[in-house]
Order: sequence, then C-alpha cells, then structure tokens
Amino acid sequence: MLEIRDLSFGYGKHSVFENFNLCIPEGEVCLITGINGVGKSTLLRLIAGVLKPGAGDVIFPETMQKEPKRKIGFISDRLSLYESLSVSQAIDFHKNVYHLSRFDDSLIRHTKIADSQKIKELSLGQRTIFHLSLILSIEPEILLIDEVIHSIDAYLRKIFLEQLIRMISQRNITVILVNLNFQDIEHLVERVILLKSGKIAVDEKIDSLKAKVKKVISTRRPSGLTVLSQNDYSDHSEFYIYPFREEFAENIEGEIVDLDLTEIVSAFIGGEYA
Amino acid sequence: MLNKEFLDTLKRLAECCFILIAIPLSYVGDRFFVKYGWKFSDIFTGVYVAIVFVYAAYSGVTIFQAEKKDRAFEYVLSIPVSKLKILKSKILPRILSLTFLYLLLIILTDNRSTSIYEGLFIYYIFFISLFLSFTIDSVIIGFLGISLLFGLYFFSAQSISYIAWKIHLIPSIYSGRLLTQIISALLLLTPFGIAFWKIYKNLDAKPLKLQLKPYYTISLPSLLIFLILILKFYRDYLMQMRALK
Amino acid sequence: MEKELGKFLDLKIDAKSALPVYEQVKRTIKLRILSGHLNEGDQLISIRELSQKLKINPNTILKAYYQLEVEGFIVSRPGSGYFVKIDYRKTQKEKKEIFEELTNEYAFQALELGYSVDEMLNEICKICRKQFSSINSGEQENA
Repeated sequence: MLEIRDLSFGYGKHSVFENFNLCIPEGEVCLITGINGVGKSTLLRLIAGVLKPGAGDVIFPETMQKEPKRKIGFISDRLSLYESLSVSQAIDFHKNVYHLSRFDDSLIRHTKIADSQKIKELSLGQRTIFHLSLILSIEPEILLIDEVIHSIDAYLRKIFLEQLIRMISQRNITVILVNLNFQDIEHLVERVILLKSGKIAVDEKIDSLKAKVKKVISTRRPSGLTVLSQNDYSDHSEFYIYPFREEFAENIEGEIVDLDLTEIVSAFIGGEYA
Repeated sequence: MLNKEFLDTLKRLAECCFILIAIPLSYVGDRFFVKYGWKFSDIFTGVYVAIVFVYAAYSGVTIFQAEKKDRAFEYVLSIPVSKLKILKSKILPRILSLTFLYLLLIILTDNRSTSIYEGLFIYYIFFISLFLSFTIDSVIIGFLGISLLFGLYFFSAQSISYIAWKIHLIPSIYSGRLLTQIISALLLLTPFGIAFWKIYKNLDAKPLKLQLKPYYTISLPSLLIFLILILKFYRDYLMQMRALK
Repeated sequence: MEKELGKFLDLKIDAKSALPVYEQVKRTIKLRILSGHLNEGDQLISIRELSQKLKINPNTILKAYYQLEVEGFIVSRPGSGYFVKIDYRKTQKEKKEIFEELTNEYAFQALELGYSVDEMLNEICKICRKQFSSINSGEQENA
C-alpha cells in the first residue's frame, strides 16, 4: 500500500496541499486528474521524493521502505536529464547509479536515436521515449508518469504501452498516471482520482465511476439529484449527474446516457469553471 | 557519479586556464619591457598562482553548475544516491585537483615558508565559494562576494592576532600567524557551511529562491557581527602597528 | 452481409458503455464459444497478448478469463494457458439467455418502430430462408 498521510505542501505562501490523505493499493493502475494547476504534478513529485513535504509523510510498501528511490521510476514533462551527455553516456550513468547489470534498449531501437547524439539534440518525442526507457529499465515497483504519454507519436505510444502492459502482467507494479488526455490509456486505468482545490473530489474504481456518472438529456433539470455541470442547447439541456443509482432512473424525465472517461472528467471539471 | 564529476572537474580547470593567455603576452612584454626588470619566470609563476586561486574559487562556485546548465536537478533529486554521497563525489575530484595544483605551486615557487599560508588560503577560497554556490547566478556578483570574503579573511586573521596578543596569549603580534589564520578561516567558514548544509540537505525541486532562508538567518547575521568586530579590532590593530614603527 | 467471425479474438471496447470492460470481453468470448467459432480444445490468446492488443489492463482480462473459467466455459492449464471447454448443458442455458436478450432487444425496437408481431414474424422468416439457402449453397460448394 502506498500511503500519503497528512501531507502538507506549499510554494512559499501558496499552499497546495493541507493534511492531504490518499491510499493507493499496490499493483493498481491509477489515474490522477483535475484542472491545470490543481497540484497533480506536485503530488507526483512529492511521491517521487523530488519535492519535500512541509509536513506529513509518504509511506511506501514494506519492500521499498529501505531505499524507496531505487524502485521508483519517475518522469515529468521537464524530462530532466544531464543534457550535455550523449545517449550512451546517459545510459551508463543511469546503469551506474541504479546498479543495473544490463539495459533494455528495445524501446529506443524503434526510434532513430544514435548512441553518440547528445540528449539536448533529441526531439521531444525521442527524448520522451528515451527517458521512458530509462525508468522502465530499473524494474520499478512504483511508476510515476506525468503527462508525457501524449508527447510521443501513436506508434511509439503503442510500443511503450505494450511494454508497460507486459510489466503489469509480469510483476506487481503500481502505476500512477497524471494525464488530461485519456486516449489509449482509458482501459488501462483501474482507479480514477480527481483532485479539486487540493483535496480529493473523486476516488473510485473506474467501473463504479462509470456506473455513477450519467448524462440526462431533458428539458427539465432532474430534481433531487446532484448536477455536476450542464450544457444548454436551444431546445434541451444535458445534465451530468453524480452519484447516479439505478433506482433514480424511474423518476427521471428524459434520456439517460452512459459516458466515457473523457466526458466524466469533463463533467466534474466543467463544474469548477462555471 | 564519481567518473562524471572527475570529467567535469577537468573541464572547469581547462576553463580557468584561459589565464594562460597571459604567457605569450608576457613573453612579448619580456622582449619589449625588459627595462622594467620583469623576468619571464616571475611572470609565469604569477600567472600560475593566479590560475590556482581563480580555479579554487571557480571550482567551488560551479559545484552544481552541470546540474543547473543541463537542467538535471530534478533527475539528480530522483536517483537513489544520498545527498551526502553526491556532495562527496563532487568535492573529492575538486579537492584532489586543487591539492595537485598546490603541490606543483610549492615546487614552482620553491619557497616552503610562505607555501603553507597559500595552501590554507587556497582551501579557504574553495570552501567559501562552495558554501556560497547557491546564491550565485551572475559571475560578477560571485566574484564581488568572494572578494569580500577574501579580504575579510586577512583582516580577521590580523584582528585575531591583535586580540590574542592583547590578552597575552601570544608574545608578539607577529607570532602564531598560522594559527590565527586557521581560526579566522574556521570562523568565517562555519556560518556559511552550516547555512549551505541546511539548504543542501533540504534541497528539492522548488524554485531556488524559496530555499535560501538559512543564508538570511545564519550567514548574514554572522557576517554582520563579524564585520562589526573586525572593524573595531582592526582599527586597534592598525594603531598598534603604527605605534610599533 | 456481416462477415463471418473468425476464431481469433478481436473486439472494440465500447468506452461509453456502462458495461464494465471485463464484462464486454467475457461476452465476446462467450458468444464465439456458443456460436461454435471457438471449439472445445481451442487455446485462447494469452492474457498478456490480448491486453497488449486491446490496450486493456491485464487484470481486467484476467478477471474475464477467471469468471469464464468459474462459469465452465474455459479451463486453465498452468504453464500452457487457457483452453475452451464446453459443458453441453451450460451452453444450452447460456444460449437461451443470449437468445432471449437478443429477441428482447429486437422486439422492443421493432415495436417502437410500429411494426406488428405478424410483420416481425414474416420478416424473420424471410431472412432465415435467405440465410439457410446461402448456407446450403455454401455447403454444396465445399462438398
């Protein structure tokens, strides 16, 4: 169990989290989402140890507690690496630091990256796939991926996801994704966590979330139900309802529509911008 | 980690050797300005000493330059190497190269008696530059700040000599020079060292500006107290020196 | 005319469906077994490969396979994989359930469109005759 306990963190006077608590079961693929600036990347960095909490702890599973960073694979959109190093030098440095005996370059071989190229000379997509292959090579127990999955083209994304899926099927790896785009990853996700104003607005397994959020197409606002947000059209409106239960269907005037993850998250977020 | 740091150290040394350009210039000078009594070997030694001092400061200040320039801070914070180990692997090659250059200096100048004072000063420069490395984004401010602390070193050493003589710890104002310089170095290094270590230990990916509080709470007050004390005692020291003449 | 389904699993997950993904996978496999496209003894694609193919979490596939095993449609042989195992009695019951579901859907929509039961029965007969004759001619060609 990865546990975040009573975490508080801020940048100077600006507080991002205050007594924040979250439990992520081992081996789950988890999605953390929310509006820009809500603290998703900050949360990932706090787990990775790249940011230090002002108060509270990140408590890792027992197998990792001695040296957590050795088993954490972290990548953010800063793609931080020693840019003046060449690809092969960066791999050697990485192998050295993580005590790796070998390096699996199968991901890199799909691109046209040469060993002698400097990191700063790589394109964004190349650099992303290189960084991803670095973090996969340490055989992490916790994988933290911050919004880089859509910086690579669809083909490389497919290749990367195949490798990720292989890892998930072979080992008990906890994957935490921060993403705003759910294409290609929607069915990989088991749990959805939505952050709002430094707190958890939603923490549900994806199947139950899909059962609990519905769109009602009607001319009249459904009474007695929580409406997250709505879209108004000339002759009707769409109401996003949460939480929805089967029993409510009888009393609702209008069509009830099932939603995909993009629409669900959009419904939650739309309420914030209203 | 260590291999990379050795490579970086050599790169910094090479950067400092720009001073070597003084050699062909001074050779030209040697030919044309012989009447001023300059000798080429003196100039060479002077240039070499300058390289060593500049390198001591430069290698201290640029200890995290690779991480700053290469945007590697977040990466380094995420790898499973302890901060202490990172610092050790950065300091080791720099201290070694500095020691090597210092030994060469001893051989070149052939003047064993002053060499130990130069050696102390060289290590002092390195460490004070290292401790200030987080504050320095511009080379100019860096050299200004470090020059201030160079000067303070000598002033405080002499002030301590004066105080020690005043309270009858030493027979004359000139004796125990090495000890007073060591004490002076330690007194100046300590507040900056403590501030540096506090910052470094808690260093994370937040903007650097937000993490520099220890400089303001520890180093600056200590520096001010130091300045006040030195101003007082250095004046007395100067008066005493004049009286002795 | 719909192309015949092969024995190789391929399906498009409906992201908008309230039906959980594992349930969608389960149904697809069940249908192929019940309609005879997957026969007793056929080996199912491995969990890892199917999850890579569909970009679905392996645990989801595992759940689908596990439930199919519990319901008696497939059996897992450790070290070899998952194989189709048909319990004749079970298939009759499941086939009936699916048939009723299909009929329900069809009848409901046809009634909504305004067709009468007789019209529906006529149409069904027409279509089945066409299908039957094409299957027959197909058999004659293959024979």
